[in-house]
Amino acid sequence: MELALVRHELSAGWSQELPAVDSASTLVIVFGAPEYRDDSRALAELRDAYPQATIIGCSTSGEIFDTKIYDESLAVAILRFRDARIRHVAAPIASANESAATGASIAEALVDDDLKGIFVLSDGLQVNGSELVRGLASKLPAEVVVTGGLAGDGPRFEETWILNNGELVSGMVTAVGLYGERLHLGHGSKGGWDPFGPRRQVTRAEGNVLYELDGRPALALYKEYLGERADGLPATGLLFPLALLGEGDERLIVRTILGVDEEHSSLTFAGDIPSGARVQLMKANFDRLIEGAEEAGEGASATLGAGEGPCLALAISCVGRRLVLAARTEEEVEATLDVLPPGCAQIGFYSYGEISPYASGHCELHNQTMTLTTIREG
Amino acid sequence: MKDSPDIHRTLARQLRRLGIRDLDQAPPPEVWRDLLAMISRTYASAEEDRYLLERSLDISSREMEELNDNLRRSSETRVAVERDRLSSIVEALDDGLCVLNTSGVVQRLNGAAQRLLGVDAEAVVGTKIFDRFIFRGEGAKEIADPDLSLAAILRLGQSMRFDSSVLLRKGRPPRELACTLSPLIAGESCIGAVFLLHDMTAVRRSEMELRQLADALRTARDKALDANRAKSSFLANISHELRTPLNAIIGYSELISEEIEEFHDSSLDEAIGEDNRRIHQAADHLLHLINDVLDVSKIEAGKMQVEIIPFEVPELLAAVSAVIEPLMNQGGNQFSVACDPQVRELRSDRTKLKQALFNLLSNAAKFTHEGVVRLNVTLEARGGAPHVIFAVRDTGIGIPPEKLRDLFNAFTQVDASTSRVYGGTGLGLTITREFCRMLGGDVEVESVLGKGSVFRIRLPVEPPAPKRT
Repeated sequence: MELALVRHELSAGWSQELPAVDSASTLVIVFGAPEYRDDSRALAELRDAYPQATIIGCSTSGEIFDTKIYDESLAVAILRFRDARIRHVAAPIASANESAATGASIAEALVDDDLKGIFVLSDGLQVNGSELVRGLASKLPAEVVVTGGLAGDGPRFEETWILNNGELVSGMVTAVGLYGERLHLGHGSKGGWDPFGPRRQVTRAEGNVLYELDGRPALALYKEYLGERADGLPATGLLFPLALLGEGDERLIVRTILGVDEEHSSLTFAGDIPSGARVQLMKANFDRLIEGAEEAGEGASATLGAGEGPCLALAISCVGRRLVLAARTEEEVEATLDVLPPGCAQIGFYSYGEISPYASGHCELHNQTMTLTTIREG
Repeated sequence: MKDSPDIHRTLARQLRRLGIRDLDQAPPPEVWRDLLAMISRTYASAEEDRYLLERSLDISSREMEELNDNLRRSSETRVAVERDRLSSIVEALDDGLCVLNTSGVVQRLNGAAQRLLGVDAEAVVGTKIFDRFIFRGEGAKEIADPDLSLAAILRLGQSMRFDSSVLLRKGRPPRELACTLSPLIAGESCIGAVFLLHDMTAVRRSEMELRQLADALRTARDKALDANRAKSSFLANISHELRTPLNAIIGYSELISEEIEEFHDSSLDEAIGEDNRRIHQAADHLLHLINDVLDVSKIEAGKMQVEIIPFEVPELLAAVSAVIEPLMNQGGNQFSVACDPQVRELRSDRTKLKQALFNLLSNAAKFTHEGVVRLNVTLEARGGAPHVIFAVRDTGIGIPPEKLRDLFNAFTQVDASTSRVYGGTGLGLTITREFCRMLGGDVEVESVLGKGSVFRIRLPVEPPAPKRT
């Protein structure tokens, strides 16, 4: 596997000349600022440079390149596989309701005996990420690794795009299947928010609006826990997300607070809060968040296994983490690279949702995690 | 450096970020300041964490206290409700109930117990009350010691009842009681006893009334029996007195009959012979009646004697046949006797058997017209002592099923009209049955109305040991 990382800035152009590695086994992964919608010259240059290659990508809430975070740039990884095969598929998402069916059709298009993993990039606003992942998982053997993320739009949540074989489109899901015995994939995903307080039951919720926990007004309960820290809501909401607990308490999905409604004493979250669900409050601690990223890196290293040759790490982190960590955000992308195998190259982006198998096995949509996918051939 | 055991993971990362590799060498001042700022931030966020955790702990503690309070309140309420319910059940009891500790000291008692004892609860709670009681079981001669009884039920874990106990009360009449001592068991051990007092006054009163009633009944029955015996005795005497003149009448009528024959005078025979025969017949019938009445009287008076002697059955059958054949001929009946050759000697009362057979055969002759009467004698030797069966079978008028039950009772004929048509006292079958039973056997009947009847006498070959005196 040959690997090259290239950056492009709207203001300064390409960081280096695009390497001449075009082939049918070439995969170009592009994470770009939303602004490239209005200036597609750089993307056209990529298509011209790699006419035979598969080009996928998406818009971001921040581009990760090595140990730095950029805006208004492109972070590009160019891989040319020696033996592994790649297959590309894209599907439109007309409405959030169809997300599961779209996921299932993508999985059916890609599934094959030597399918090792699928890397998915989806429109970040028009999709129900949980359903998309459920559809994907329903048609795949458990050992196939599914990772990826939902496209971002800075902090705006207005419009996202993906690259469907180099072409900038909205309202679509794009995925690439990776095949071959010599291909190695690893993954790791970790939050870093600490749960606190007793587990409580959602006694009233509608869609993504939470009204009552254990029969008590949700906002009042939040304020009771947060004390004077509650004055900052909803701005400080990112610091206090809500964990949804599965059958066992270990399977956490984290929902970020988007808004508060004093009149109804309710909270609005970035995803659905099902009635009857068991939940637990969480709190952010900067050092713990960064340690979470480090643990995700350790997980991605461990599942990749030892080996020679170049290795690519795709870091997909939640936009919420960037908003919380703010100036310290780069510490988490340094932390991942610290624990990844020596010589591992890293690009990635801040997303509106991360996709990876949680712990092992089932594929889940996460919020607020650092999710790493590692790729190596040999 | 990451592996250094003295450096915390967070600090190690911070040092790494600032490019500090050599821990033995002080970093340049600007790096040092950055490091301090970093560590300071870590402290601040740890403090922030502690603030939130303390609040959370505080809320959890408060919620737990509230839960605990609610739980205690609701369990206290439940206990109180249950206690009230138990109290009202105990108070509703008609019987007195005392709870005693293991030493017999009263812990509490219900209203019924206070009324029985004639004291208020305050007067007896904390004291022993056994000295007020005499413990005795129903029908027991010995008086039981209450303290020993209490010790016994506590040891054995079983209740004891003293149905004939007495409660002694100052200045008031003693009271009959049934007392029950039951162990009070909590978990595995006896913590005391339940002492139940059931007032037996009413029971004793009705027992006494019953006893008086039974005495009166017994007296009345004795009187009736005496009267009956007097009647039987009178009947026996009067019958005897009646027989003497009757025998004279029969004797003289037979004498007259012989004298008429000796004269060979048909005119004399025409003049008085028929009248004389009627006198003889009527007197003979009367004698039979008197004999039957006398027999019944003797049986009822318990004076009928049984005389067991060995005799030949065929010889008896021949004697009975000789007497009965003329009666059979009068009704135009065929009569036959068959005897099993195995049946020879019988040890029984010959006279009574003969009379029983005569009664059955004369009944058969009386109630059969132009028919067949058979006497069959067989030996029944299967299982148990051998018996001789005398079966009298006729083709007569038969007996309705509803009348069979009373057939052997005294003064009973199938209906009142029967005696008018057929004559007889209705005593024959009663006497027959009594005789058979005296001889250790019995008589039974089968009958089909309009077709005929079978009477069977069943007698043991050897007589039973005498039971009657």
